[in-house]
Amino acid sequence: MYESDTIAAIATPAGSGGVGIVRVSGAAASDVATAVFRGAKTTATWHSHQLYAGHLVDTHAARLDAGLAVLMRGPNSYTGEDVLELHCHGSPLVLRAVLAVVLQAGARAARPGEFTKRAFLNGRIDLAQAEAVADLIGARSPAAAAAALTQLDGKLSTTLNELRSGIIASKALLEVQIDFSDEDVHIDPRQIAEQVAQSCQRLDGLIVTYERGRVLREGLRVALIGKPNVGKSSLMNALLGVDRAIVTAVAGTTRDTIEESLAFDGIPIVLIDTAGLRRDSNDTIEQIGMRRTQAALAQADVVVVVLDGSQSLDAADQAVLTATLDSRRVVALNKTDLGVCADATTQIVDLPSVAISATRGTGLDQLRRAVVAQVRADDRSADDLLITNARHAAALVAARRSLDLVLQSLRDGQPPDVVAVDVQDAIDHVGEITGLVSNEEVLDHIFSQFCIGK
Amino acid sequence: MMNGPFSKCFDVIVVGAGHAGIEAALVAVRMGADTLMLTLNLDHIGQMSCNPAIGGIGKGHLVKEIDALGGEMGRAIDATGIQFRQLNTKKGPAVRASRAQADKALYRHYMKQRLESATGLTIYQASVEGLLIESGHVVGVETQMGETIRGRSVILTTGTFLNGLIHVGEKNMSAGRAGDFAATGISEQLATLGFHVGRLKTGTCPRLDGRSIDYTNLEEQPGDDPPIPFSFSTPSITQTQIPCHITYTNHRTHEIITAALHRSPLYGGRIQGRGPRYCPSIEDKVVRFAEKDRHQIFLEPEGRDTVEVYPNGLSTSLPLDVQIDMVQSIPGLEQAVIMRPGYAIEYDYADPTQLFPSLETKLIGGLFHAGQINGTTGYEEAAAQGLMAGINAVLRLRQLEPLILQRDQAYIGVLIDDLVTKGVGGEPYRMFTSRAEYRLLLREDNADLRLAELGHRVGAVAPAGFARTRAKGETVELEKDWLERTSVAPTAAVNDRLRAHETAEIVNPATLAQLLRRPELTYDDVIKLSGGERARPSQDIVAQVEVDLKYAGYVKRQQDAVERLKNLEGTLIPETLDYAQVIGLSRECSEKLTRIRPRSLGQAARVPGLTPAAVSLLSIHLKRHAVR
Repeated sequence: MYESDTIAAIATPAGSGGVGIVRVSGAAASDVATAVFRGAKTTATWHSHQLYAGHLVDTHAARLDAGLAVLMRGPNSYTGEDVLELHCHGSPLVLRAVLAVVLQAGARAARPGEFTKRAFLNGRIDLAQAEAVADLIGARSPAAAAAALTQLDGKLSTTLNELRSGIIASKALLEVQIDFSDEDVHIDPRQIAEQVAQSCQRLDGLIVTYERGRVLREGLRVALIGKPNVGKSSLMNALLGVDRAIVTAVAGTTRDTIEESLAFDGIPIVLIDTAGLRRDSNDTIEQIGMRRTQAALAQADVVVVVLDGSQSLDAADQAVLTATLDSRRVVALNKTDLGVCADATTQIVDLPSVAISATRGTGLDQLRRAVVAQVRADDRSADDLLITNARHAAALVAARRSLDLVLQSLRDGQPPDVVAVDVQDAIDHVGEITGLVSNEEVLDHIFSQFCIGK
Repeated sequence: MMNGPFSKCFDVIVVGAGHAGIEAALVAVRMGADTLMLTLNLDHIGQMSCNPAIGGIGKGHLVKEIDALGGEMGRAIDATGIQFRQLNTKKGPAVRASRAQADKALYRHYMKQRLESATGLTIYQASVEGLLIESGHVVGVETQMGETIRGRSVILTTGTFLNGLIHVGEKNMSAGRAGDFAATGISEQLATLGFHVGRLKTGTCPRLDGRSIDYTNLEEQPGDDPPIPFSFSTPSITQTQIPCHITYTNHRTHEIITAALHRSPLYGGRIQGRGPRYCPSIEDKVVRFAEKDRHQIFLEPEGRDTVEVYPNGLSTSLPLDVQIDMVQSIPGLEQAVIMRPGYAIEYDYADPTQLFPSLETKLIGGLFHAGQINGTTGYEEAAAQGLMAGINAVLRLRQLEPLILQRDQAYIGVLIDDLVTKGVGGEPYRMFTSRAEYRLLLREDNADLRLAELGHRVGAVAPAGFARTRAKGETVELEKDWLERTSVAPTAAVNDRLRAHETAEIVNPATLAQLLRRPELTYDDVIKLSGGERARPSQDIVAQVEVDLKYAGYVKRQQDAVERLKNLEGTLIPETLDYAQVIGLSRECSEKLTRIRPRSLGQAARVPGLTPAAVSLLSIHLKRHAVR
């Protein structure tokens, strides 16, 4: 189906490369450029197919990265529409951040093959390739999706089918009180809320498996957090075995987050060193670093809280512990070569902790094992992985959001015809994976469950 | 063959004078066509063969749309209704629906008078036995008497009359409905012409003598006060209303039914077809929902001047002696006398996927099908199709584009699109609001605003009706504008009032529109808050303003969804397209498309089993074709 909105995606392969590209296609491409790119010339004056240098910025006009931009106006572009390419550094973190601001600027995340599909529909690809392209698009057809569903391992198809019939049942409960309100059928609104809440649980269970799969593919994101000068950068260097981060005795040296990839115990790890979490900083650049620290914290799968084990915990350490309360965390008591302060260990007695010395290289293996144990402790075996496809995960997340709106509307006492709008949205999102849910299926459900008709 | 009483060639011949035929004939003459209506029985024009009511959920929406397009059904029920009710008043703005009990005899009389006074309409009693076809086009009809009547287009609205067969217990008889002949000959000819003729089943209730019913202990269901009319042109309903009553079946009733199942034509195997699931016979309900200990029965009077009562919920084809026992086991009906037995009826229909969305058949030029012949059920569904067939028959004669309503414009659009794209799945098709994707856009209250202009453009809506709608639209906009511009200050008095309505106080000045968006406040509440004197607009304006403001967010979301699919619906596919020439299209998809011949890419995407890939291939083919 051809839709006319503007789409965006990271166009370069996953994993860090030198240069990464975010591609945008659609009528709003030029508006997106204006919103996310600052250069010497305004976007309106750009020539088509010409590269411009500048900076990628977020919604607060803060710089994300230096980069190049090129606008290729339709129809002489890959898709035949206006196409914008943003070239920036290849780090996955940067690319994800750039894509995020592009989506905020009005684009929608492209589905797999969607750029190619638009190219095809706009006649930019030779018709001789039609069959091959059709196969590509065809994989997304309801029929193919349904076929794929039956071929998938039993557990996924069972879970998805339960999810699907659960949402259809919720829709039927709403519709039966609309289309058959003069019948002798009585529905308790709490019954609908319960049914929807069950679907939410199923969705959460599925979405979580995708998160876990992402860890296996993209690496476990481990953030090192601590007040300035507790030795985060030294620890990072020790774990990496190279001098990657700048290490000085001046507090606040690490002004940016630094990402490195390594492996702990066979699990790929993305290690993130952060600027020291410190309050009352007047230094603007440092404040940006602090903001990124908070972002890194939010995105981390496991947080390593670095404390100076040779001293009592102060207010700054307490602030770090408070900030990481909701994270899965491991405490690294650093500098234990300088002695161990009993006061520090008693305050963190409930948390998994490892005594280390980054400078001497002691305790590092125990720390690695403690970090990996954090994800393994959740009792997740590899064959529990259900959702591996990013598009499926996105559809499930969207469905979950719609069901949240349903629960909200039910709490607000909205009438059923309004509540039904969000249930339908959830059905459509799930339908992107399981194949379309037709209105007839909802009616079938009503007729099979309720005695209807005069 | 002999010439009949008419030597001239009519523009439009309408076969049948039921709810579809009436709207078809009236709109054709409104649009200036020389029209002939043929019926088996002049005394049964506009007959309600089943329950004596118009409207209901989804169906009321259809009546409002028919009215907005200049049709007669809304005015007819307003004039002849005996009880009016608004349904779903607490279920949200989109699904509020009107329903009325009709005085059956009065309704027939009203319709017959309307037809007899319509300029340019000829009415003639005759049984049509065949169509006259010349080189793929219909050129007239042939009657049972052997007369030929010539016409440039023919609209078949044959209801349940095609090879109708009535069943009561072990007995069956040929009939179009109880008391009328069946129509034979037409189905056989349609099959010969290549139409897929199928068989459907439906049924109706026995009729009771109201004098034998004891209403003393039954629950009364009164009409609304004041009654709200169907037609946008009816200022108010002035006739007095009659209540309905509610009773229930019981364990004894269910025993009687279960014991007699072997004598039922359905369970005895004499009827093969499945009955409609939403309108099951009482024997079906007892078998399928054995755990329910009672079923609801509405006792609906059939008119003011008759004692006949329709026990809605008791549709049955059990033998007459069982019907009597069953009825008399129900509270209030212990002494009830049956005046006409209930029965099941089987009849022929023609596969509606062999129609264009204009309702013209794909096989025979100038031939249109409307109503139950297309596999639908319901007076309202029939009338809606009759109206559209009438409009499109006349537009075709003038070589103009047909009027095709989209799924986001009208329930009529949903109805016809479903029929011609998906067909009917083994049971008669009835409208439900859940069939519409854009339900919040398709409300009863805005049917005129949605459709009057379209109807006016093709000549189906009289200038007066269009002017009224335009004035309504303008008043609504002015009123909303005023509410957006007028604010109230956060005074103690205002906040006292807000607290009294159990809604949050205001800190800053707020516009009346902002306040009206709160669920707790009505139009009248916010006008009082403003303290100003303002002439209250009519209730339909107020209702429209409230819905527009309160549900603006949801309505906008549905409008956006419509907008996203616009270029699919707007891309038309030439009727003559050779799908075999579309590169990459699988044979299965190609065959489906060749059979349905969708009018637009949007319709193609809804063809069951058609993949998005196929739609994409079709899209690129059309683009290449258009460039050339």
